Amino acid sequence: MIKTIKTGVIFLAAALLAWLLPWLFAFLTTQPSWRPFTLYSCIVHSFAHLDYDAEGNTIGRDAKGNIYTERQTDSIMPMFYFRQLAAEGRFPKEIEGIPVTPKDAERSEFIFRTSPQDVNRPRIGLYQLLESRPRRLDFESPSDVFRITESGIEFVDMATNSLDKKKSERFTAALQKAGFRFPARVIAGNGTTRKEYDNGYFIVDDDYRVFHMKQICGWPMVLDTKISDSLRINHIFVTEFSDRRHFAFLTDEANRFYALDAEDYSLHQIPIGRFDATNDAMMIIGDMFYWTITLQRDNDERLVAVNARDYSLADTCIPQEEVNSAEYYARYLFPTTLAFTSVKDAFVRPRLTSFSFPALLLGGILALIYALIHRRNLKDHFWQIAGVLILGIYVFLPLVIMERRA
Amino acid sequence: MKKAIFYKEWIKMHAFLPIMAVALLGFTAYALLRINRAVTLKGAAHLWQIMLDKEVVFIEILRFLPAIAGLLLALVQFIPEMSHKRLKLTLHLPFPQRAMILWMTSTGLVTLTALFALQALMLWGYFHHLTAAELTSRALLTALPWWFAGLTLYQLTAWICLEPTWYRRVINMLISAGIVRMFFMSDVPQAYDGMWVYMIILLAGSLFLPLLSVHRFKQGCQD
Repeated sequence: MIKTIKTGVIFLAAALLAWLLPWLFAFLTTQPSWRPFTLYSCIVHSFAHLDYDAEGNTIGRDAKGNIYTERQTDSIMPMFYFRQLAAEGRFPKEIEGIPVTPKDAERSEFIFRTSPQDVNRPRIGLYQLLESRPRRLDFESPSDVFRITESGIEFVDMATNSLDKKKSERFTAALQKAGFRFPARVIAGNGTTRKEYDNGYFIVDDDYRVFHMKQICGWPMVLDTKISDSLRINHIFVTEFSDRRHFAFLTDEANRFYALDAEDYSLHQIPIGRFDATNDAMMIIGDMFYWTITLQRDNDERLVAVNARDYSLADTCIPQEEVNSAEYYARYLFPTTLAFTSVKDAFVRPRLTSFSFPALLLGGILALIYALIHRRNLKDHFWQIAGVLILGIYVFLPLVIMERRA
Repeated sequence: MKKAIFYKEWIKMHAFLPIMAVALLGFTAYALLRINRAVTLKGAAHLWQIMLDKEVVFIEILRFLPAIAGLLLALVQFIPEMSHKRLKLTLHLPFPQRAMILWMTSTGLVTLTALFALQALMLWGYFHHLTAAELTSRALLTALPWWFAGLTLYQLTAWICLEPTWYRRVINMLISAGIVRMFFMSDVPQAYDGMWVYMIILLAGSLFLPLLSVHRFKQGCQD
């Protein structure tokens, strides 16, 4: 039994080292990483980013190799720097033949962000449905929350912690009348009161049909969006941008990305390739001409420019990634890495990276040293030597430290 | 004999237990009173909204309390055993040595579990009255790793205290620090929902660690 406990302690120490040593190494070798702010220019029709010259002055560079002064950079990105251009009286009268004003730029600009950590986090299952037509200009915080169960929607009054039966029945009946089948697969909305207007909630029912639910003057408004259930919508991001052009962004089971038109619930696929919201981060900086979409998976970044008027692909770009030398050396030092947290979710659980074969070299050297220490009774230390060979420094250190006679 | 072991452990703990119980349950009452004050000033709906929007459970103040309780209880139980090597006498009692150590640690674990259960009951009672079942379970599930930390740290402290040499004691402390760190890695409520199995394995495994220290003690390891 004692031998088993001793082995257990060695493995425990090895697991802790597999967690803390790579963390310490990364902590000590951290290098500043800088990704330039890049946008698609509706003037030069190329990606352009901000940079600094040798004297530290701000300059702009486009993908064609042209260099711009700071003032020129403002001009080639008029929809982003419209305030600066308007203040200097330099805002163009038209872009791509379309008359445009700073007001148009302000109204049509939006920034949308989602990351795996936003998507993969503990969900509570309680949502706040705002009154879409408030008495006053500003939204008021609702006095209740709702949950969707196997058989209906329930509104719980927060002040009394009791079920509002009448309202629950009213909304359940409205959902059922629209053809909704309980329970819900996806419930998406913005419960915040800090917004210009309210798009309510988009709910995917048990049959993968997407419904739009709002509260108007305390009464339910439920509409079937008629989005094909064959798409199997799995993520919905309600947008509520100033231009009121879209209801939401959506993804389906095949990881296609869509924009849902606010006029007629028509779905427009955005040509960005596969986008898995549970694994990829996305940022869209949009205006009435183009959307610059930055997609990020692990350390890989991809930029896509989409024509905002017809959702066609305008350009793509993969920025050159600087090789992180510390990561390169870590592959030779550590056979694997244990981590408990991740940028991909908000949960704590053990995650082991795949085995790094280059680390076998160090494992071999350490196994040789360990064998030399125990050269007189190698047979008794066979498993330890094998452990050091495979798990390298993680097993070598606990073995040497624990075996020292105190 | 088991009765005698329990009595011996009771003698060591009885002065400390009321202090620990008052501190643990008193802090819990304080945390709940703070919530109650917020409810009185701003209403229950405000509390719900903060819990939903800001991802807080309002009992974060209790985070390290179970771990401190586990640490102190183990110190109270096992430091007397190691002063003047009294453990030698304990091990000479007519009872299987491993079972003796397991009974001793079980006494502490049961005591801690009872206190943590009382604390959980207080929290459940208050949250259940004030909030929806989802928010109540969120608060309790968020606190569950803290209680696991308390029980595991109790075992780890016993392992450290019973270890006869300072060299290994320091190593044991470093390992223990690493293990305890695992329980406090996220402020997100219910972040440990996928960690239960590992926490149970860790706690179950730590039950046997004091046996290793006692084995080394019996082997005559000393500074």
